[in-house]
Amino acid sequence: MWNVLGSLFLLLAILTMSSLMGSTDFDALSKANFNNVTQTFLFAGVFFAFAIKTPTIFLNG
Amino acid sequence: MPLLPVATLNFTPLVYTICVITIVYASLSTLRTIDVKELIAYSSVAHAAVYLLGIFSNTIQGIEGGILLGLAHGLVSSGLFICAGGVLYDRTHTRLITFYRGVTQVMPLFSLLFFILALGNSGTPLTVNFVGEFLSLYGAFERMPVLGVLASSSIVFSAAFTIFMYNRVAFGGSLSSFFATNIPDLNLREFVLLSTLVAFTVLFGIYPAPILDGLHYSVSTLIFSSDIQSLASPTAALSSVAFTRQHVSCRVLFL
Repeated sequence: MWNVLGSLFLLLAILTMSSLMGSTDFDALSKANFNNVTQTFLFAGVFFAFAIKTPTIFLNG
Repeated sequence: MPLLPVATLNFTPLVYTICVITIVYASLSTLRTIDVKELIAYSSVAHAAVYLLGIFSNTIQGIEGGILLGLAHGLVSSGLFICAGGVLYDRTHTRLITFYRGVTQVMPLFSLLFFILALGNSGTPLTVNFVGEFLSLYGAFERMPVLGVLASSSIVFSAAFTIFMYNRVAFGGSLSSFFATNIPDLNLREFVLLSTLVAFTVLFGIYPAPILDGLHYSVSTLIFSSDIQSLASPTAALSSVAFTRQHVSCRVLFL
């Protein structure tokens, strides 16, 4: 359940990237230039998800 | 992390701190487990934090090491799980280390393969785990020396808990006195399964170049694609270039 909660943030981050760039292709996305605030939020989402999946301390289910 | 270069660099100290705490905490909780399967699972957590450090190190060596350690851990961890769950539990129907002793006497073949996998898990040279772990920790050290040194405690810890487990399971008395029937050694199926994993671990541990050569180009482009990264850590980027030059296969990048 905790894993699903984390993956939700990953999904949100990916959806944000896809709605900003119009694609989820990795090569296309690596050409993106998100501004700093957007990057911070996207990173927080992605890292939250992967930190739960790894799992790291403070986020271990 | 080429998607979010600025955020990655900004968050690296936080990620490193979390990873180092994870390594120490997970290793310590691994040390006090008495369940074989649980011990292997917890050691995976400690190693996962190590390759996270490698990936976030922003150096070629670190990223390649992270990928290599992930691959190595896939081989060794699954091998150990087969040993613990597939072989030992199947024979004895217990997973507690306290109930095992002297498996070497009744299952020599198993003990041999189990030993090589245990060496792999503790990151001994000649296994691919060593190559991956060394490169990851090197990258981490280059990025943040103090946290890199603290992260290197994972080598000591992983050696400690792996050898603890192997010692208790394989040596220290006679297991057969607890059983009315004899315990068979590995059958052909188990032997083929385990020796495949062991062979790949040792083979790539001695000669990891086939994997690393495949990674050089992608990892180099990953790092050098955005200018911001070389601006943020010029020393790291420069030393990465120096390191890459040593590899003949990568010369083409600089022509």
